[in-house]
Amino acid sequence: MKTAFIFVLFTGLVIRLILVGNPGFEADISFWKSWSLAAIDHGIVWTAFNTNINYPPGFIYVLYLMGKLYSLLGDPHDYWTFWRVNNFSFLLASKSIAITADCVIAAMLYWFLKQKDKLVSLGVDQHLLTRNLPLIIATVFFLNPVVIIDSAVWGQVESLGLLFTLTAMLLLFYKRPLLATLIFAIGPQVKLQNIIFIPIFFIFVFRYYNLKTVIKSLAIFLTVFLLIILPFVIQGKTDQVLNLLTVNSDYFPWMSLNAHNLWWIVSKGAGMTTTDKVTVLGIMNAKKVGLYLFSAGYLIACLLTFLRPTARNFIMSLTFAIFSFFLLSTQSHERYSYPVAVLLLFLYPFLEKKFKKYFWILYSLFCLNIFFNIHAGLVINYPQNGLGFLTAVTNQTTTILNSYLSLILYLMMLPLVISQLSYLYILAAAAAFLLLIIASHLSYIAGGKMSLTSFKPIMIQQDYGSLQVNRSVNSFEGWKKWSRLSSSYFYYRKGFGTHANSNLVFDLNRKFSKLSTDYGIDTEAPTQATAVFQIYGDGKLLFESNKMGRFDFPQHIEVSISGIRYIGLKVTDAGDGINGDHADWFNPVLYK
Amino acid sequence: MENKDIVKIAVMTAGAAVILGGSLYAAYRYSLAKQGDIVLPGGTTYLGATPTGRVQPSTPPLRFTADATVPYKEHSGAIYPFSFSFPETLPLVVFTNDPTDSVAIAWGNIPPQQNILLNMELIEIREKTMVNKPKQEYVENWWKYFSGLKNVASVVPFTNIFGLKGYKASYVNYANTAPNVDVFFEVPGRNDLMIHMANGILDAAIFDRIVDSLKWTAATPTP
Repeated sequence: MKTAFIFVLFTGLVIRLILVGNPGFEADISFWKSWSLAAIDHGIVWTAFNTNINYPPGFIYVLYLMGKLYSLLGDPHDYWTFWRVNNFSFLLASKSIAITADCVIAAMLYWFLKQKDKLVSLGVDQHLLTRNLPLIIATVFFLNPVVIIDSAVWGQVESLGLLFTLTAMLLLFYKRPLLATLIFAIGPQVKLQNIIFIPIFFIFVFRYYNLKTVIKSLAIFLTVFLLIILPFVIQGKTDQVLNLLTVNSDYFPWMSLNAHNLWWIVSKGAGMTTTDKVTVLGIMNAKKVGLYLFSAGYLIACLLTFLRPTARNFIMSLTFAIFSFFLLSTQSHERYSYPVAVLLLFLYPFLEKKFKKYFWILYSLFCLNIFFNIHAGLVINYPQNGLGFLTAVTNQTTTILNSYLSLILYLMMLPLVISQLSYLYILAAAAAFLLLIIASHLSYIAGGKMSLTSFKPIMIQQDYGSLQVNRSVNSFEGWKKWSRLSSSYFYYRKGFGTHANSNLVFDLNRKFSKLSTDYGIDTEAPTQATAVFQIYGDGKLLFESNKMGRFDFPQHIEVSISGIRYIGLKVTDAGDGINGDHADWFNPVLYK
Repeated sequence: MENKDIVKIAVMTAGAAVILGGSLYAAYRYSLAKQGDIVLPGGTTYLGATPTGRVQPSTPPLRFTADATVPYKEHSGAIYPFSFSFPETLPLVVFTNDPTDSVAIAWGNIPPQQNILLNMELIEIREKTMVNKPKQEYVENWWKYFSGLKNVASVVPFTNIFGLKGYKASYVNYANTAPNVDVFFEVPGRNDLMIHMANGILDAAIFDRIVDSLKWTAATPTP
């Protein structure tokens, strides 16, 4: 058996090594080059400030390792070799980290499934533990095209991030909750999407152990976090940690980042070019609807672990949570469903007999679905780096069909959850979703009016700084510069702080009849500031102000917007240049 | 018996090492078969020390030149079907996920991002109303998109040897000089695109030869 497993490891490794030479997702690899070079040249903190890194702080240590590994094979300062897209040494150095993680996970699966006594104590029916099971499951993982394409072809590190969660999961089963937390805490710092697992992890610790263990675990979690960000703390630059952890929110404000999910269907296969701020349900945009849908799915995952805290349900909860995140949230990447292909294998031995045969159909379809999705994400950008025949059939129709398959698989996964939970809890989650929808419409239905600031613009354009909601434009420089909206010292709680020339477009879904707003130059603007304010409805000019100056009092306007879908708030520089033109829309209110 | 086991293990280990080494070599050969352009990450990020060319400039002003005997090779766009010839000593780089399909020069201690030889002008993004206007008008007004320019000095229509209709333009900066040559080509069948080339640090003869070699190799449908 052991020899057979070693043979599998060897075969899988050979396949991966052969594929290492593929330039993969060239943008990711070139970013690894830039960031790893910065890490070895100037250190962790410097890298966070002087590159366009959008990964959590812990990943910079991985980049440092990548850079150091490459230094053993070549000179990272040899510009003409280092930056070449087919730089084999860098491809090997960068991909070897995820490939190593693949090997460790395979070994972990093999070892865990050989622990018969432990598995039985965790609730596995010993009659279902066949002799070959560890080898079969480890082989399915290690030779799985989903796992291979991610690490050996694309060059991503999903397996590394997941490795920490999986290790922690097993340690929890082995009654080592504190060590488990110590390792678990590293995962989200390497791959941010692992934060999805955090609440479920602590719910399980609470139910499987006790509150005291949760408190100790939380202390360890925070300690590990602090240790990872220690270089930032020492240099007094912890605000950059917050930036790295939040920078990805709205970094790509699209419905779907090549993820074949619900939003890929809604956007008709144009998820990468359709903003998720478009209104899709009543007065709610896609992002909010996606967040609420995901919350309902996540609630089910949490309830499962909370109400039935077994090893089986813990793994099932993690799987259901990450797939809910992939499927129902906007701004999802194609690779976010990757952990499902791994977690399901850990789940398999715990499943009841009636699910065993059904499982392999489900698992095969999942692998097909996830592999096609990741491959599509790769070849849409780099067709030369994918499989020719699969690239040839990757188009709008097949990607949308694959998205429907994702939805079907989500439904197929439900029996594994429902068998452990009463239908009432599923209904409760659905009710929670409906309540959230109703709550979002309450002020619209009951009050007949709502602030435009509760809408996110579908388009933001301005020539200086970034749009500020309920703050003046200079607040974009950071919290130390935060300032309230005002004009000639008239202060407002709500509104938009912007700068000429600016154009904000909102999708109102034809739900309102009137817009009222004040407008003017912000008090923080220099004395020469001037601007003209315009309101557009579906591209037609509805209102234009006189030229406003720094010492003018704020003005008020009400415009009819019946039947209008897109409302545009535009500020021009009044023809004299944009210098100092800090312009605000104050208290903009929409009436039903 | 023990000796036999050791021999068996040794043979198997050696065999495994050969297979792994062979796999690595195959992967290496495979990587060589892929196009080996210099590809830089998009956005503002760290690239190490300022890149330097293999052939270094010796005296100011910086001007890249090449001997007439230097062979020329072909560069093709990653997104758009343009191609042109350039001296093989001229170090060109491209950027990842760059919608303008820019080609930059990494030479003379100038960051490539500031040394663009060719980029696609996406007219709709610059100014939507310009899409359906005559292309010469777009070229005459191009300076308005840049804060360092204040007027157009000249625009001269021409056609290169591959039949592409172009405009040679120069623009006045705030030092009241017009030091550069900007060349714009119309794209057959596409109102929303133009190809822009800038002479930058290139010797005039080399730049002219590159401009003359520009081809648009496929009919592109209007989106």
